[in-house]
Amino acid sequence: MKRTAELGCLLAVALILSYVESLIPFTIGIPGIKLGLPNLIVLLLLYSAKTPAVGAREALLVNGLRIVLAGFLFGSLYSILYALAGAVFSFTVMAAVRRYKGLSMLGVSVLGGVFHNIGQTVTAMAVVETSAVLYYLPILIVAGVVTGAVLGFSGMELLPYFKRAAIVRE
Amino acid sequence: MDRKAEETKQYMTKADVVVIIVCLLAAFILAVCLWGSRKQGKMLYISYDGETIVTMKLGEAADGSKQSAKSGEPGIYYLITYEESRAIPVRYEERPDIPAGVSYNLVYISPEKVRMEAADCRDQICVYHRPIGSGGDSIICLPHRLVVEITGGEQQDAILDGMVK
Repeated sequence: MKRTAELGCLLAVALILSYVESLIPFTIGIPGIKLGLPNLIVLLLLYSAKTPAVGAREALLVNGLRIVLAGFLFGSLYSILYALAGAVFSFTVMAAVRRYKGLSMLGVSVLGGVFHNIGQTVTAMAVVETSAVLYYLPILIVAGVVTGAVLGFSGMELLPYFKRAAIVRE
Repeated sequence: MDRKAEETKQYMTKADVVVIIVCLLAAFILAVCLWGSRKQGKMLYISYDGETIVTMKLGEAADGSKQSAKSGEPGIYYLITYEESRAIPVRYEERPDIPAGVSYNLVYISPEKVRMEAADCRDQICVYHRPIGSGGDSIICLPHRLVVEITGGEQQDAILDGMVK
């Protein structure tokens, strides 16, 4: 029961991060580049849970709800679709590579960012029915690396405080 | 930060660096493949009497990288001969000998330039036509009803080429 409340709090934080992100105007001329702040919560959940499996389940729950809620609050049906597509790719990859001990949060986050953008590109190709969006992919991959690294570093700094705040019982 | 926190803190690993480098490398390779092919995305069409008889990517002309005797450029040749209202295109890696007693057009094709190398048409306008290389350019040999046409590529190329010349 306590865990449910905690996850609820984290969902609220993730929603706030979604909102903050929707306020930042990211217009570099290329559609789809953003920081992915809510992914910070996903990362921390993946890493703070007792076992990777529990972490994956909780992160999936929080992120899924966050996308649907944020979509209805700040976005549109299409933004939900794209966010889900990105999240499915990114989450699957992150949950998988998180089990590999050699990688730290940084590497996991970078892969998450990269696959988020690959997922969105694939979805855009399916929706618009053109391969022209593929031309953005190299830029989007680099953007995924950069934003993933920023979030990964933040996550690495935050994790000790996150764990200490009794959000997770050891 | 207390000791417990210190223990749970994560640090960057070698594998992280490898992941980042691999991702950037993948992006670079993708960029070269996608953007490189777009630049060479110009298509060359040769048509006879409205019917396309040769279609090729202009960039592929460099594959037969033999040197042209005339300009020293890499490129290929297409010899089009006419028989009974049919046009027969044949590809050559080197400049072929001009056939005797047959009506023909000899087209030189390189990734940058396409020109009518020789023809036995009566006005020779196509032979004197400046070499073409940009999307939308064409050389037309009216007597033989032959059209050599480039499509695709950036429209700006034409303006730039014009200015350089």
